[in-house]
Amino acid sequence: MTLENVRFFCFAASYTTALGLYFAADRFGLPWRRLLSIGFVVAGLLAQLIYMGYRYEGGVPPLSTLFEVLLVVIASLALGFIVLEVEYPDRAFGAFLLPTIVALTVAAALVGEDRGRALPEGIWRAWVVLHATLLLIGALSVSISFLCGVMYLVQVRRLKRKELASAGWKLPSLETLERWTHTSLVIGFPLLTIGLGIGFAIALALRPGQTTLGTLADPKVVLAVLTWIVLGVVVLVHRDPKFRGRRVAYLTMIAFLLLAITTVGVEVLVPSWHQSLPGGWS
Amino acid sequence: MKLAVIGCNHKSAPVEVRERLAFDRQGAGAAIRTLAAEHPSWEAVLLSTCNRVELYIATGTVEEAEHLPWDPVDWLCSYRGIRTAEVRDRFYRFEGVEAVRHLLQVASGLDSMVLGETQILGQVKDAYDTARAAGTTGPILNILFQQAVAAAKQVHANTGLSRGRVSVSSVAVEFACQVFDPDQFRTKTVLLIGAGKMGELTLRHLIDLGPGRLLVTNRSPERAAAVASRWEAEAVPYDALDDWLVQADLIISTTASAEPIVDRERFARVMERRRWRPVVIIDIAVPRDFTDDVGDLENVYLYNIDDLESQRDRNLAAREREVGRALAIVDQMADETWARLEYQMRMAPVVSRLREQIDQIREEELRRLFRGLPELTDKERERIAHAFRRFENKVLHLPASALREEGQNGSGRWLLDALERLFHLKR
Repeated sequence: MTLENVRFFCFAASYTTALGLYFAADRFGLPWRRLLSIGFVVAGLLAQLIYMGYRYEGGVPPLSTLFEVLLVVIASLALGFIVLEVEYPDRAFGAFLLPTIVALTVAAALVGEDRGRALPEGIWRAWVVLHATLLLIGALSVSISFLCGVMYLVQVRRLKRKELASAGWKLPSLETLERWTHTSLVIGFPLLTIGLGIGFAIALALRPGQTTLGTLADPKVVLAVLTWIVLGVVVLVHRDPKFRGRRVAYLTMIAFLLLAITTVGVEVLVPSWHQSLPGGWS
Repeated sequence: MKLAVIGCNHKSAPVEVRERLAFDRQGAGAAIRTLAAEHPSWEAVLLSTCNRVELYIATGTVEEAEHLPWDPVDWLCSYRGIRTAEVRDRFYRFEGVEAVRHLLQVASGLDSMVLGETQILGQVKDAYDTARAAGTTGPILNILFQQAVAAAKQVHANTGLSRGRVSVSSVAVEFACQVFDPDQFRTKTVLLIGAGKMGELTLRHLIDLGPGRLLVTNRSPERAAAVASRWEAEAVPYDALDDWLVQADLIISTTASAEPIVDRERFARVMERRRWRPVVIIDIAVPRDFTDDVGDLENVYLYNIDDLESQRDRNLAAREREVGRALAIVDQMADETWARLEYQMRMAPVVSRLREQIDQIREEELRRLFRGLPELTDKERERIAHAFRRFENKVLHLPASALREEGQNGSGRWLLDALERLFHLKR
């Protein structure tokens, strides 16, 4: 078998196996769980990087399609999983990261490999790349705040039930999780704002026949604006101590779900002018 | 050679007996030095903690071990000035592989009053260091104690025997650390309400985390001041309790009040004033100081004595579940250690007999040589004798090294057998 034969299935299967092994902790004992799942994620990440390398050589650069964007997000989270599991072996970060990685892999499979289109030429190429990069980092930040929000809710539930986690299933303190959620939102929201602004400008420029209203009425744009508003609300209420705690965590989760629907859901289910733009940007 | 341990612990002897037998570090060193002076070829380590007093002995020769009318319990009791008959039935005695297994279990926390506690490992290391400093350890106890430390580390690393807090106050601190980042504790205020013993015990654990501010309040200002002075805290008036509740991030309540002092309505007002900043309440008073529904408020984490004890019991039960795995590790390492010790015990007399035999041959040959050369001066005779000794040492060095090396690998029995047969060393 040559490296060209490395397919999507290879790393998808590795990540799924890692997830299964992670939750089979009690059967294998903690050290085995960690070693095996880290091993499978390392193998999956290597396979994914080889796969992405061959796609790049085949003329599909990273971030050029939604599928490629998802691959970058998955690889980033897989790398994050490896670092966190090695650095904090008694914490259950994997219990949240691995399902997200597998869910994003499923999303990538639904989006499909063949939706790539050529990037626009000239000055717009740089703007499109900037638009995609900002949205990618913004989306990653919002994903991190979502994961921190989920961990926060799990931690609150445990503490309200007056239980402490057993070894290997511990989570950071509520104070730490709240800080991480806030930091990732504060980083992600401005990047998403600028990214969306650039995207809207590109849409107006590259679709000269369409009115501004017609561009705004697109389901993807509507959802993107809605997501932006919810995220803005989350960032604002995060500053207000009265709304701290579970409420912010729930709002962060709603914002993330809207973001997921805007990026993946619309791409798969609803026709949007966005898909007809060069590059098929999310 | 023989390896044995005699001792008593929290299971075999009450504290009244243990405290009469106990040694501090200096006392333990002096005791084993006395023992070594009486029996210079013996090895000894004395392990004395609040829960056990144990004497580990490796005797010099089989003859000494089997024929000397020496009783270690008798010796220990007479050293401490206790009549042996009073306490003899409190002692246990293990020999050979059972002595090895016992020490490995002790070092791993399997024999501790609080299952899996790790403090005992430090105490075992201290006892060994004291004996080494006193010069009472040798090849047997060196191997034994090094293996005990290795076994304990393996048990701690590969099982959950030492995981989870098992005291009420440490469980309370762990709950606090799940809400607040321990690294940010310097920014937190701790409020102690009342002056109960448990409250102060919990406070002691919390102080290790370095809280920024410590407040103590009590209906009796004098008692508050007394507690505050012990912990370098601020004594604050009880009348303004709500103000302190607003300021505190962590509240330990331990009053003797017959009725709850804070109910949900009162604390909801406090939470409004503190802008719903999270708070951990450790209510270890019985009857409780905070009504149960205070814990239903958003960002309030309330734990009473039953909650803390339940968690402690869950942690202990989790440790109990790990005993089987820990014992399997200990058993395997005890067998391996005993194989090494047995070899060591067998090797030393064989090497000693070999040396005796070669010494004998050397002496005979020297006598024969000197008889044939009567003109030799004393100085010349001495030089020849010295050369013979050096020759003997060099010849014996290689087989002795090979025996030691094989002993490390645990595979040297065949070499010992061969040596015994070749040089007729069996007795």
